[in-house]
Amino acid sequence: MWDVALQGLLLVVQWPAFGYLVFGVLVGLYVGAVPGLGGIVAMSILLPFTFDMEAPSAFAMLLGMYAVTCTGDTLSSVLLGVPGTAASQATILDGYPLAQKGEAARAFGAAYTVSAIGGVLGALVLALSIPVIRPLILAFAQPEFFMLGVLGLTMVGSLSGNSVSKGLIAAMFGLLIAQIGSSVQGGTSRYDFGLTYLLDGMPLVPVVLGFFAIPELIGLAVRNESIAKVEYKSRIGGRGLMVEGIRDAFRHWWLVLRCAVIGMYVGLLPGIGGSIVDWLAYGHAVQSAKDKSQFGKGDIRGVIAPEAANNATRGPALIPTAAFGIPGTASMAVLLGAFLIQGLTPGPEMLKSKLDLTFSFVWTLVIANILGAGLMMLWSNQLARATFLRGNLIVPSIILFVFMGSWMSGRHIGDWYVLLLFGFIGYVMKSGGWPRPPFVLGFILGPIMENALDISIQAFGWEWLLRPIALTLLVMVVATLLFAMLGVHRRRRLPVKPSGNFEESFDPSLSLLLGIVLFAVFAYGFVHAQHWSLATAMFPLATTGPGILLALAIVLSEIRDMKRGGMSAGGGFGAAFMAGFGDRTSHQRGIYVLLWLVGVIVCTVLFSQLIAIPLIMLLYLRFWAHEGWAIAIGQALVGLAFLYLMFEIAIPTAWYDAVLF
Amino acid sequence: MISYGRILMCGVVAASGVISFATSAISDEYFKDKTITFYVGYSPGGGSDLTGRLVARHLNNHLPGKPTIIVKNMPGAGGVIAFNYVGKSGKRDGSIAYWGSGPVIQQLLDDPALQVDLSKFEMIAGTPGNQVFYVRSDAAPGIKQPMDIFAAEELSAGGFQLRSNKDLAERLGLQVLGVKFKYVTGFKGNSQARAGVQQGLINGFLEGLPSYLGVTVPTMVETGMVTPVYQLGVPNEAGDGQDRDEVVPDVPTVSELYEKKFGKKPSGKLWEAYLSLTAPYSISQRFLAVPPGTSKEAVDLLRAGMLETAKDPAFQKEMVKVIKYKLPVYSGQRAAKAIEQGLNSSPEVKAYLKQLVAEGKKQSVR
Repeated sequence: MWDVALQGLLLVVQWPAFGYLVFGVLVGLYVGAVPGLGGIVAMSILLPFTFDMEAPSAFAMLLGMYAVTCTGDTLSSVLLGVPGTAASQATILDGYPLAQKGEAARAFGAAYTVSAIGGVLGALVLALSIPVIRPLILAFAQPEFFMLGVLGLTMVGSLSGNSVSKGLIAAMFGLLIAQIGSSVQGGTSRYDFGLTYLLDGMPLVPVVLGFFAIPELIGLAVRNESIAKVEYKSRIGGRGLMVEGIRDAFRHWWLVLRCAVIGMYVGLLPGIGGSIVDWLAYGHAVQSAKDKSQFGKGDIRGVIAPEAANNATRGPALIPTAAFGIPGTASMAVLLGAFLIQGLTPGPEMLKSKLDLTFSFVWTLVIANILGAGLMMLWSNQLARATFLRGNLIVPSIILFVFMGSWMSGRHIGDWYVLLLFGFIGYVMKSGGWPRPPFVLGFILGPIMENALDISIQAFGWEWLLRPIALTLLVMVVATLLFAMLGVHRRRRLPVKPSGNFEESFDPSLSLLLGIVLFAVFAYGFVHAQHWSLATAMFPLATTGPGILLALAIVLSEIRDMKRGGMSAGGGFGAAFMAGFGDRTSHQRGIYVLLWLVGVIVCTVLFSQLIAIPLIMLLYLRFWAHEGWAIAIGQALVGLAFLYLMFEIAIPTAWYDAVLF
Repeated sequence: MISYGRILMCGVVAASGVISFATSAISDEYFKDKTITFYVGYSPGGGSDLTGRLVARHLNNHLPGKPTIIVKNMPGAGGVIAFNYVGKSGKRDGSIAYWGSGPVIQQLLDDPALQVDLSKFEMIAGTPGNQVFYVRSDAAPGIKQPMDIFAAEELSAGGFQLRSNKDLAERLGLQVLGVKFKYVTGFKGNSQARAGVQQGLINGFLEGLPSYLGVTVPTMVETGMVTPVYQLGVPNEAGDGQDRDEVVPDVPTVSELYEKKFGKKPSGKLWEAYLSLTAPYSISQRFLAVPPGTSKEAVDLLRAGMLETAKDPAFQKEMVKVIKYKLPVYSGQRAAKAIEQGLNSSPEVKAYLKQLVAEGKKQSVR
C-alpha cells in the first residue's frame, strides 16, 4: 500500500507533471477569483490539451486547477461582495463586512488556512474511503437530491436576511426565473414570451453576475468611496492582520473540522454538491454558535465555515467519478472525458492496476491545496489594498470582468441585456433590503430540483417521500424553518434593534414596490401555468402559489409599518411612502451609472468589445470619475492589453460581429 | 489599325489565363491560412465532443492547405442550438461545420425549436451510433441472459426526453418485443441515467457504444450488475435491416430476439416504425455537415478529406484509445441518403411516432 502511495507521489513530482500541476493551480486560482469564470469553464478549456499529454501530467493539470478554484474564489467574495464561484456565496455574508471594516486581510488569512486544511482532509478521505463508500452514494438518488435542494433553499432563505419571508420569496423568485424556457420533460416551452433567445432558459452567468456585481458596481460608482469604510492607517498593516486570520482559523479548529466533514459528505453525493455546501456549512456555524449577534456583520466564523467546507468537497467528489463512473457535477463529467481521452476506464481498474495513478490524484489535491493557499496569502495582501482605493478607480476593471464574464458564457449580446436587467433588479433588491443569495441559489438549483422531482415521481410515485434519507432531510427542513422563525421572533422582541456599524440601511418604499411587482409576476406565472399539462405545470404552480401569498404578506406588512411610521412622524402614509425612498440623488446617480453600462452595449454593437470596453473605461474615468487623462488612458490601455492577451491569444474568443469594425 | 476587338480578345484570353491559374492555385491550397470551426452541440467530455475533437485533430492533414481546425461547444436543446447557429451563419466557404448527433427526429416531429432544414445541409461524412439496451440482472424475476427479457415483470426503462431518438428507439424496441415496461424520462445524459440504474430508479437503459464500452462494461457488465439485452445493430448487406455489430458480438439485435422467441421475423407497423427510426442512426447518428449553399469545391474537398482521415492509421489508433473501438466513417453521400430516408418516413410512421410522444407525455401526467 505504502509503495503504491509513494509511486503515486513520484508520478506527481516528476517533470513535466509537476510543471503542469503548478500551471493548473495558477489557472484554478485565476478562474476562481474572477466572477463568471469557474472550474467548469477552465476544465472545458483545458480538456482538449490533454490529448497530447501523458496521464499523470493531464490529471496533475486538471486536478491542480480543480482543487483550488474554491481557494481563489474567496478573493472577489471578500473584496467585492461578488461570489467568485457558486461555492463561495455564503462567504460574502461575513467576508464582505470584514473588508468594509478594513479587515480583508484577516478574512483572507483565515479563509486560505481553512481552505488548505479542508482540501487536504478531503484528499485524505478520498484515499481512505474508496472501498467503503459505495452504499452511501447509491442510497442518495433523485428523491434525496430534491430534498437536499429544498433544505439548501430553506437554509439560505432563512439565514441570509432579517426576514424569513423575504428570504423565502427571493428563493421562489429564483426558482420561477429558472423555469423560463423548455420544460425539463422537453415537451413545452414556458414563459418564453415568444422569444427564441429564451427557449434555452435564462443564462446562468449573466444572471448571477448581474445580480451581485452590478449593484456593488453602482454603489462604488455613486459613492466613490473605497470598499473599506475605515481609514487605511487605522489598522495595522496587512501582514499582522493576516497572521491574526490564521490564528482565528486555528482558534476555531473544531468548527473547521466539522465544516470540512460537511464538505466532504456533500462533495461525495452526486448531484448538487458545490452550490449549496457553503450554505450548509454557514447554517451549521450560525446554528451551533452561542453568540450569534455578529453574524452578517463580519464574524470571522462566517468566513471559516464555508471556506473549510467548499475545498473539502473536491477530493470526495472524485470518488463517484473515478470508482463508479458516476460524475456528480458538470466539472466531473468533463473529467470523465479526460479519463476516456487517456484510454482509462473508471471503475475497479482504478483501484487495482491503476492504483498508483489514483494515489497521484490524492497527492495532486494535497499539493495543490497547500500551494494554492500559500500563493493566495502572498498575493492577497497586495490585492486587499484595493479595498482602500477610491471606488471609481476599480469600477472600470469590474466592468471589464463582468461584461467579458457574461460574454464568455454564450457569446450572445442578449446575455448582456440579461446582465443589466438582473443588475437593475439586484439593485432594487439591495436598496429595498431584500436578501439576494436565496434568489441565486433558487435559480441555480431550480432545474436540478425540478428534474429530480420529476424523475422521483415517475419512478416511485409519491412514495419517494417515505425513503428514509428523504424523510430525514424533510425533518431538517422543518426544523430549520422553525428555528429561523423563533430566531427572528426573539430578535424582534429585543428592546433595542441590534444595528452594527456596517449594516446596510434600506429603503422601505422600494421594498414595497418590489413586493407589488413580485406579486404581479407570481400571479402572471400562476395564471399562465393553468394551460399546461400537470407535469409541466406542477413546479411553476408550487413556486408561484406560495410566492403570491408571501408577496401579499410582505406588501401588507410594509404598508402597516409605513402607516405606523407615518403616524408617529406626524404625517400620513403618503408622507412616509415618499420619505421611504431614501437618498433620491443617490438613486438618480445609480440610474446614470446604469446608462454608462448601456453605453458598453451600444459601443460594442458599433465597434466590438476589443475597442468598446477600453473606450468606455477611458471615458468613464475621465468624465464620470474626473480622473486625469494619464490615469484614464493608462487604465484603458491596460484593459486593451488584457482583453487582447486573454481573449485573442490565450482563449480565442469570437468577438461581437460589430457594425463598424 | 488594331481593332479594339482584338485588344479586347487578348485581354479576355490573358484574363482567363490568370483566372484559371488562380483557380487551380485555390484548389491546391484552398484551405491555406484558413480556420475551420466545428460547432459541437453538446458539452465537453461527452461522446459527440470527444469524437468531434478526434476528427478535428486529424482531418486538417488531409485537406489542401492544412487549415487550422478548432472545436467549439455550443450545448443545448439536444444539439439544435448549435445546428441552428451553423445553418444561419451565412458562411459558404467551408469554414464552419456542425459535428454531432443530428436533429432527424426533431425535423420529423416538426419541433419548433429547429429553425433550419436538415435536408438542405451538405453532409460531409457520417458515423454510426450503435446502442445497447441493458437491464439490471436483479430485475424481477432475474434477467441473466437476453431471452429473459420476455419474462421481465417490473421493467422500468430510462430516457432523456420525450422526443429524443434514444427514448423512442428504446420504447419501440421493447414494444416490438412485446415487453411490458414503465417509462421514466428526464435523465440528463448517460452518466446520470447510469447512476439511476445503479441506484434502482430505473432498471433498464439504452446507451451509445462509446460510453457503454468505456464505462458501463467495466463498472456494470463485468461485475454482473446488468445484462446486455439487445443492440440496435449495424445496417445489413441488403439495406433492409440490422446485423450484429462485431464490436459487441454477444449482444443480439431486436429482430434476432424476436425470431428466437416467436419463430418468425418481426413485421408490421411497430417494426416499420422501429426500422425507419433506427436506420438513419445506424449509418449517420453523428455527422459532419456544412451549411446549405456551401461552395461545391469546399464540400468536395472536405468529403475527400474525411474519407482519407478515416483510413489514417494515426486517427484509427487514437480513436481506439479514446472510444475503445474503430468507429466506421461513411461518405457524405451515404450519410445524406440515410438521413433523407429517415426524414421521408411514411405518414403512418410519422403519426405513430407523434402518438408515442403524446402517450409518453400523458404517462408523465400524474
